[in-house]
Amino acid sequence: MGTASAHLQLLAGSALKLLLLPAYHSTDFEVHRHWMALTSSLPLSHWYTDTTSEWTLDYPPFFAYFERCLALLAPLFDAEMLTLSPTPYASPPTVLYQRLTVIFADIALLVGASRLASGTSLRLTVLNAGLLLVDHVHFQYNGLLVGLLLLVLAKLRRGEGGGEVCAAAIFASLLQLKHLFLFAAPLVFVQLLRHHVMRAPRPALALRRLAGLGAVVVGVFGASLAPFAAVGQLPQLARRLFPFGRGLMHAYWAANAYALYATADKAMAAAGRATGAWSVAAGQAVGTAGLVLPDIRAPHCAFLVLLLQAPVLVGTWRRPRPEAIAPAAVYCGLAAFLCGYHVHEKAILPPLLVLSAISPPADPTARGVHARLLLLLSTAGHYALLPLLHQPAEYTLSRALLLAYFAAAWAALTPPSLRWHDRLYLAGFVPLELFVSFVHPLLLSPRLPFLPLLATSLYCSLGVHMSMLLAYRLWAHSSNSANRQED
Amino acid sequence: MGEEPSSWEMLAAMAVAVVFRACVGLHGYSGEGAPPMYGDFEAQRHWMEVTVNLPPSGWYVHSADNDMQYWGLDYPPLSAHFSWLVGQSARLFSHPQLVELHRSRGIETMATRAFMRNSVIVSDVVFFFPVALLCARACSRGRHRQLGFLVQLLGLPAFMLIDHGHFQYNCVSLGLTLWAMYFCLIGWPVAASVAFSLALNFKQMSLYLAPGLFCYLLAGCLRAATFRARAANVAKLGTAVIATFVVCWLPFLGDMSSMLTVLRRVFPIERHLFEDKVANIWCTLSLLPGLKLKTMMPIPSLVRMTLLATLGAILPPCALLLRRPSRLGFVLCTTACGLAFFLCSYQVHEKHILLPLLPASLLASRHPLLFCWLSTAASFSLFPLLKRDGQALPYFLLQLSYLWAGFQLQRELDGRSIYKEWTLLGRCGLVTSLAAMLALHLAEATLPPPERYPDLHAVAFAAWACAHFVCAYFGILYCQWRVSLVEQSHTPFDASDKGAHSLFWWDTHAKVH
Repeated sequence: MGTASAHLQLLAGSALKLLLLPAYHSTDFEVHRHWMALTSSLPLSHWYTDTTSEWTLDYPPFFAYFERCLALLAPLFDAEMLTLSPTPYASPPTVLYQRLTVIFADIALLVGASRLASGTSLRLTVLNAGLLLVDHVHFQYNGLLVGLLLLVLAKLRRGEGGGEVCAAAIFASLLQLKHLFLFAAPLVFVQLLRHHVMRAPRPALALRRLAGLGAVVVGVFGASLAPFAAVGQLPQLARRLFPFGRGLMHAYWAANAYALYATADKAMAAAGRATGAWSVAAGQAVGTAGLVLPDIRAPHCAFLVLLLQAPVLVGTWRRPRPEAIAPAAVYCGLAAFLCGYHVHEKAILPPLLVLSAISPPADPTARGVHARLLLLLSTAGHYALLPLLHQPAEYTLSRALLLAYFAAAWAALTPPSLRWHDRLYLAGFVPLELFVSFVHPLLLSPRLPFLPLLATSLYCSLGVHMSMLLAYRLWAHSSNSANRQED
Repeated sequence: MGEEPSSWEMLAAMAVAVVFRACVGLHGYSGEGAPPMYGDFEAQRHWMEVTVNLPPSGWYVHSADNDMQYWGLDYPPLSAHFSWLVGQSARLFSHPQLVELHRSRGIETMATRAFMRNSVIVSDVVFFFPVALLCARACSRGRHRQLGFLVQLLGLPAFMLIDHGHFQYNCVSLGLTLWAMYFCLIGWPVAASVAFSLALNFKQMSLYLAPGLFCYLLAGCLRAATFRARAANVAKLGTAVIATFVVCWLPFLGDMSSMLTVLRRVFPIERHLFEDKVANIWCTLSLLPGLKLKTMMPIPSLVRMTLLATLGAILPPCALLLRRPSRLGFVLCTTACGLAFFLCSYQVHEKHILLPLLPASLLASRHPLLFCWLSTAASFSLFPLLKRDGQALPYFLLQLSYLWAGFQLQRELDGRSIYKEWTLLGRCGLVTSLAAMLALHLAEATLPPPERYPDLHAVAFAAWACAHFVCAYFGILYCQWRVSLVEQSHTPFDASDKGAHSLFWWDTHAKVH
């Protein structure tokens, strides 16, 4: 790729984001509008108690501060958007302003990604199709958040003392922006402890470093939480941030382990009773209390995630190689996605973006694993996002965007050494798409309304599971090769 | 550098082109939410409604079910057949309400909009993309160049904004025309005649490009050694053309009167010299005091005048091509003829600038920036129309990206210094032209027009664009003359001499400019 086509691609990406201004936006648009209105018109003590709108604030305080800052410029476009109201408000200037804030917040992604990746990997990260769909159509600020995560990983990968303290501060802030990123907390903790603290030449220095890290984290958390603690809001805040009543699974099943689990559960129930258990919930499930198989609750999920992450955490403990931090983060992200509690389909984006920011390894075996992983995970993860955009206007747009990303990734990884079963799996998306978009709506509808979503979840879940194994192999390779280099 | 781009890269470029088309389609279209007449979107939909519900004999005839005052069909029969096809697929894809007789008027639901937009994208992908890919492979060498050329061809703002923004199916006739040109260049004259006849039967405006194709094919026919061979060639092409026309006109061949009805609808003399503000010479001349051509002369003499002017303008390029036919000469001649028609002929719409732009695009691999300049002027001339359609934002984004891409591709071609081959005059011209366009845009955005001249901005846009097209016409004529001196001779009847991928690499020879 020449520099011209590199620039051309980044430019095309920015033009694309602006072109998407009138595209469909989900209720998340109103969520963020409401939070702007909430944080700008009520005192801090009411932020986590207000129930004017059903979209109550359920992100940590830094994100609330962020919304408060966004509200400062909002009157330049339309002051009306800062009025608290239970009904959605989306005047054209409001849409323009909010879309522009997402586009500008993407600068964080560009900065983070350019520290970690270069060349094609950089473009595959910044112009990720899923991110475009979720942030610039559906409406969220994932670019900003993932950008910070990439920055943390880049600093950890360099493995320098000052950088690691900085990484700790950024990561603590990231947790205070969105607590979804807790999935990486054990990994970052282990890495900092082993590489920053315990490799210090003298115990006194190790203690000093530990105290330094502790002070940084406590400082960040204090800055975030202290104002709320002062007004006695912490318990309410915790209730909002961790709403365990919401159930194991989201309305549309994320492509994770529980999609398989719940399907098996329903299938067994249906087989057992030979009655209409299917029609009750599957696909659009609300409650997911197990019908036959045991019910899974939040603590079980946390345990499962830690169990899955354990090999990488233990490995990192034994060999805290800075070079292996990004693959380890991919693995930990996938573990949290597969077994986390009430996971959204969008949660695939952090591990996927970290993965695409990893440049192809030099070692041929690792290179093959990396190519397979990137193609499988991006395809399965992206395709599982499509049900978010259910409006007819974005149909062609979203499919073409996915195809473009896939083809670009394929061209960048040439020749991707795919196994026959990888190819078979990837080819399977064609009949799946035909079924979901044509066969079902034209021939079967309105019978079996849950079938397209169920098929999508299950098929994508398969790919994410395969990716999980590949992610482990990728991490093992980079960890070992780093080991060998050192020996 | 010499290797072919992987097909995945080409696929990615084409998928991105689809993404951009879909994005442009999210913005407004002609006549959106503007009863009672709406706009081109409703016209196309109405034709689907009429063709699906009435027998072909009723398509072009005023009746209780077909009000010719309300977007009566005025394109040739292939367009009507195409509308029928799209209308039937609307029924197939469970949007029967889109083509319900009478009751579907002005229907603009989210689902039907999406269907209409998708139908243009599919037509584009079916008719235009494959031939664009073939041309990219044939017209340039090296992977960056092929990819860059494909981007220039598929990313043309004017094509995208008119078809996927304003709403038309030009991609079909332009695609067919490009197929015809491609067949000419690889030496398949019969296929070229069939493809171009289909284009003519889809939109009569394809006639703008007919002289170039005609002369190239004719030159080929006349170059045969014996009289018998010449006659055989002419007969072959004539048969192909007539057969294609017969197939397209089959439902109307029954009696003379229905054929005449169609012809009268397709060539409406009673409409006037130009509509709105067109960047051609008549509209620009009307600016001069005392030259209100529309009111000065009766229609027949206007028609005669434009006919003479057009003939005069297409004569030099056609004569040059006939005297010394060559591939590059053919492309230049077709472009010149397209410009000549646009500048001089009768009843020109601003959208017709797409026609000369099509053959010109084949020159983009050799002169990315020069072509980009022409494209910028063409899109610029469309701005007043696009602004009415709610396409101002896509216009600016595509225009800027495309211009920037042109500079980048030129830089990649020339190494570090762009303009290596540009004269001082060319550089100054480019800067002046772009600066003036920017100034006009700023003026349009900030200064309201004086009350006496409410159209002042539109007129200024048209006149400035017209200046570009006139210069382009003479520049291309000059190039054609230079080319006729150096380029090796070629006609569509010459079998392709080199391998399939080296058909017309203009970057290797033919120093133009």
